Amino acid sequence: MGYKLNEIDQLTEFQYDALREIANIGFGNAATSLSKLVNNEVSINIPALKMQLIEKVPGIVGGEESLVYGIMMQIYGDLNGYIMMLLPAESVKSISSILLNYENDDLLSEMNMSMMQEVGHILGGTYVSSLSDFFNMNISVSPPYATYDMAAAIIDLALIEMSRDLEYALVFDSEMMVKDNIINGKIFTMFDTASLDQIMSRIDKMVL
Amino acid sequence: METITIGMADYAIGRSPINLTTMGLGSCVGITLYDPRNRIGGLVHIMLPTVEQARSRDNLAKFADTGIVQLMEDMIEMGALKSRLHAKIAGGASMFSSGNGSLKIGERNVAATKEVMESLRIPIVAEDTGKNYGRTIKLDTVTGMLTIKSALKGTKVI
Repeated sequence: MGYKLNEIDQLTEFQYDALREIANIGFGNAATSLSKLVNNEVSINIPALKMQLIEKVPGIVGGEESLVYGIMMQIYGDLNGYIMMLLPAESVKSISSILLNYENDDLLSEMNMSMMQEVGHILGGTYVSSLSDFFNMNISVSPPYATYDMAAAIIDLALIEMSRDLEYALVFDSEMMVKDNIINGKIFTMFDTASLDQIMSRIDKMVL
Repeated sequence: METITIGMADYAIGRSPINLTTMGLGSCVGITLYDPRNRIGGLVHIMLPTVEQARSRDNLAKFADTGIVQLMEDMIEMGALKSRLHAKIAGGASMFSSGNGSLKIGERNVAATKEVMESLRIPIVAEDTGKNYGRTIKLDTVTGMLTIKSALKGTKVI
């Protein structure tokens, strides 16, 4: 089957809430692991949920030219897609001063890169394992790729890969904040439409 | 001067004086065509080399082969002469240095773009492609110059 843009509006209220709950579980757990890492409370916004034409995703993420630190991981297995985090420079510096006890201005230094890849891996791993547990599915996450550049340029590889076979992607996006805004950033995931079918069939089984 | 902003997998054409811009090219490629006599310019922001293996063909601007041809045809309709057109290309980066083969899509997009240009016999007079950083490009249809802005590597005009 495969869901289309207009069909997301046709989801029942229950299905829609369930999808949103799933995003909450995933991002919530990722936020918890970040808060353990930086030893500070991390809050997340209620995730937004959209079925979006892939080439229009940069518009959702906002600020195509804004300079951000991006970490990207591929999600594969029973669900397929990408998880990405976009953080402004100041947040990376805060993370580095908390974790490494020193601030490194060169965001692309090997030290910063491996630190952020590790942070990404922990967050992405938590996200994926919480979904695996919830649905009893086999889902894995690739090693993280990281760089510091324009937001649109960072995410275009994932969009290209998604667009090989698809027109639309299911996009969840949310924002993470550590108190006093010392760390903030966007976290978002994209799933292909076959994954949405999978999720929906699991949700429907849960009702019965 | 008015500026038209072109999104991913989209294109636009315009007659001088107008700027055509697209932001944050990573592995995607931005292709500009320009007729210096009529000062008609066009820009397409492609994502993939070819429509051939694509399951969906709804948006032809997504692919190098179909996107460039569509751009050229629209320019000719506006009054550009094919034999006068020249091209400039930018983008096709590998944003993440650590990576496997699928991360080479930037290179493949650039190679496909060059093949299309050759088959259309439109010369590529300047390019800024590859490497590992993002680019924002702007075509000035008054002069035909292409400005390329990057986050950490400065700005250049080709």
